[in-house]
Amino acid sequence: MRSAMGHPVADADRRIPVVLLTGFLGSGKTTLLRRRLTGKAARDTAVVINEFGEVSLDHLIVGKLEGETVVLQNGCICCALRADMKQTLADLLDRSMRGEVPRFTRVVIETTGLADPVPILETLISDILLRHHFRHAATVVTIDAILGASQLHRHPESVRQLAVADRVVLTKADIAGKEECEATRREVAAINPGARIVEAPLSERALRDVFAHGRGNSEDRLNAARQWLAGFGQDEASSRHGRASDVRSLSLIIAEPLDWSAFGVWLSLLLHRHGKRILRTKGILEVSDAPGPVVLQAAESVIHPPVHMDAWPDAARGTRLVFITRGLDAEEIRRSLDVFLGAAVRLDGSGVAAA
Amino acid sequence: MCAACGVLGGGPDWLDRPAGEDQRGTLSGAERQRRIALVNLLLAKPRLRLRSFGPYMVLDSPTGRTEIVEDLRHVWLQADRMGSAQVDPLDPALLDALGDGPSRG
Repeated sequence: MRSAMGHPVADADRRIPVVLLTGFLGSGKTTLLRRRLTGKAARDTAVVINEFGEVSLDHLIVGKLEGETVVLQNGCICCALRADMKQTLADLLDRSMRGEVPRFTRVVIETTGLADPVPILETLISDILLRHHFRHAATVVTIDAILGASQLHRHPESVRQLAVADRVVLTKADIAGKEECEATRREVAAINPGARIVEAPLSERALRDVFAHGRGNSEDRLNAARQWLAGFGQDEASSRHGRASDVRSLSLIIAEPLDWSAFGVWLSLLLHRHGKRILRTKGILEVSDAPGPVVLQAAESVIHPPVHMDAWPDAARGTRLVFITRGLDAEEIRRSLDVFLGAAVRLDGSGVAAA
Repeated sequence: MCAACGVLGGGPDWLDRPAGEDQRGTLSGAERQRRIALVNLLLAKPRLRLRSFGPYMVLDSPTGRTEIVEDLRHVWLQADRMGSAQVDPLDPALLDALGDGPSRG
């Protein structure tokens, strides 16, 4: 078993896991972040936040360091985001190696309420220095259980955040009525099937789970795949949409093993051409000639290195693939893939490729 | 890794690895040619053509222009610059042609 970056992985991925925390203005992101920062679990954690003032940490600070970095009573390191995410992380790493800040084994990055998380993801995945030292573990989004559905309808930024999320925290669920919560859940699931949804207020255990990063090993991947598949469901392929009416999620099931080359060529062009309108691509693929499934993810045109797994998460086989699109007829994607895979089969039959 | 390492170059382009292989895997010659042919199915409309040229990959235009390309992402970027029309896998005309026509290499 090898990691997506080709490093032999006897068990764990030794890079520092990074959890992105995003969420629309007023969605309760800061409240969740404060809870995360102030507990015992924040020891050994470096947190990159937008603004210190927002999180009200003054009473917890035990040390102030250069570069707008503070250390909290529980050992958590907080630093303000500088203009350049890469520089912020590289600087933290460098200072930790030199002993100028306490050692940290995980990172949480808070994005601004209007932020598009994709550029941060792209930096983490693509930058040579960062991807050697850090791995993206999960993206968490906070959504207001009362206002969230209408926010998703009115604000494209919130849709973009939800589309790339792995875990959703429905905040203020204790204030929202049961029907309101259910309506927001349905909206969330329509846009991002497969994202794990939990309701706040969170127990301590649930809080740990929301920010869990695992060890990046094969067991983690299997568990993550199982969870995602549970959200995907075993229904026929479907196209769903929420009240944000130009957002669609297309779920595809392909029974035959996938032609990796054909699929990859097609997907790379699809995301090159339409990446801005394909908010998220995620799939567990059955690939011809691969011993196990391949997990594929993309946020807009940013494709994560695919992960080859040794084992299937359940008894079902075949490819399950989700596209979350905005302003694009998701059915066109289905037709395009069908046609191109068919053309690839005929190519083989004609012998042209071998010429 | 250099362009000689696989059809569509080296570096972090994941498509340059065979399915099921780690990042150090390299493509066979036959698979490399197959991937070129697959790309060319999509490049038919702007009449561009990808081919190997010694250790390199090059993209040819109908006007005789030739550019070296390093990986798949680069192919599409160059195709946008060199072609008369953007390559779009959702283009109904392209899909009609791919769906009906004989395979092209």
